[in-house]
Amino acid sequence: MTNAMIAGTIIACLAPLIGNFVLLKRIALISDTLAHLALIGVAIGLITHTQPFLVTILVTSIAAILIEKMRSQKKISEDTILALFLPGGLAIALILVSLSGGLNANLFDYLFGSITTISNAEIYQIAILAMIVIGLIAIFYKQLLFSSFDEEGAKVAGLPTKWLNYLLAVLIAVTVSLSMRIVGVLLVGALMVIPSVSAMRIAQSFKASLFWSVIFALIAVFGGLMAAFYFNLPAGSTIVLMSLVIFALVTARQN
Amino acid sequence: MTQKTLINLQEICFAYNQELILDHVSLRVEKGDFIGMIGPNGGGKTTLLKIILGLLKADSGHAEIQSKKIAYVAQHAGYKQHFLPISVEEVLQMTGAKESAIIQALAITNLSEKRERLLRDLSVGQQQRVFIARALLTQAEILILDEPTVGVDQQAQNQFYDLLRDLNQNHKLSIILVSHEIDLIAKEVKQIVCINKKLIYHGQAAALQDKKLLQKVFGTHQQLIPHHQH
Repeated sequence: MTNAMIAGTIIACLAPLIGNFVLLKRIALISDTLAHLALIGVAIGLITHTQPFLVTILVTSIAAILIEKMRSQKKISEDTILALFLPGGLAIALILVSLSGGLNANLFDYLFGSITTISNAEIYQIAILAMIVIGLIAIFYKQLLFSSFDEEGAKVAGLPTKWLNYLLAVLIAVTVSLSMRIVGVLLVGALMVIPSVSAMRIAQSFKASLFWSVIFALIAVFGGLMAAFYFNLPAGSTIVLMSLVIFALVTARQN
Repeated sequence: MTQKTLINLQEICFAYNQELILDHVSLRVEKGDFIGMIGPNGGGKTTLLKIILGLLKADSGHAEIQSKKIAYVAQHAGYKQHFLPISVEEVLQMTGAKESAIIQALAITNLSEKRERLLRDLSVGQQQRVFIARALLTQAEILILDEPTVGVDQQAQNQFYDLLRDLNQNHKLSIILVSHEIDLIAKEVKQIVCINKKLIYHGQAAALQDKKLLQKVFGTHQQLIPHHQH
């Protein structure tokens, strides 16, 4: 349970930070798409008996760069690109899973999350990569904000928007890969987006939105873990449901 | 005294899906110009702007942009941000400008009191002024605006054009403004550029009084309605 709390805290700080930029850029579905593509990494990891976690980061990062490259070419709309990648990734993953001998408990850990079985080694991996992602956000904060908020304006102002977009795409990919052990591939988008949406409803600046989204995610993770522990429920689901309860409360308070 | 040429476009052609959007368009913009660009929908105005901005590449011709300091206020720049909690000062801070410059830009655009307000809570006219303030912070020499006063009420429009005149005359900012509001353009700018795939006219704004010119640009009968009759 201690490892679960530590991993949950790290991801609760990381996922909504990226989620705010994802919403700002209006690409909320990219997290779900990359999460489905992450299954390819998991399947390759299971087949080759290598660490699925690292293979997944590689696969999702490559996919994120490809998605961004197609998006920047503006020949196909963004939602269509995601609609191509999401089932495509899932189809490849299912074939690989089938080749590896079918569904097993390991795969279910990634599909639905398994925060309570996270090892010390995984905690270190998550902590180091999360620090790198948060550090890069801090270093490139103004540029990422400008580029996500108004890409054309940022490009005209001389910012290297192409590289900033690739950077953000890889940061999203890494965050998805880190979060999937917590809430599972199927719910990872929710942990990134729902606390950010709740925060954006009450925040009086983007920085305030970043702050409140982390607070909401922390409440959701701790509340969800407690509920999972006492009622013997899957932690990923309780965390996401707790996020939705917070969203409902914030919305009700506003109305 | 010769004026400094900031933009020199020669024989620009651009096609999209095999349809010719710009057909051998040549245009010079000098320092201090205040140009209104008019033309029908699909006439190539926004495409020409994007070629000037470097967002699109011409299929042929030569685009020489002397000033690298161009700022762009897009059509409906603020509209799409209705859901997002971005404050006015955050829009300005993202340029990396110093605090003293931000204070000055807010003062010029008459937004000092709105500094901590959310962009989504401002009127359309105020939102456009925020983007102009941001343009000032990038040390722009040329300000390009695409349909900036769509959805802006009469009073805010007047304030907006007062601001543009001030920036042009007192801050030496060259301005290119695309608009469908021909009557406003005729009243507010010094020069006009009429585009309908080809460059139809580039000269004094007074030429807009000529019905034949408008007919040539828009292909149908158009009449200038004095602005105060709106």
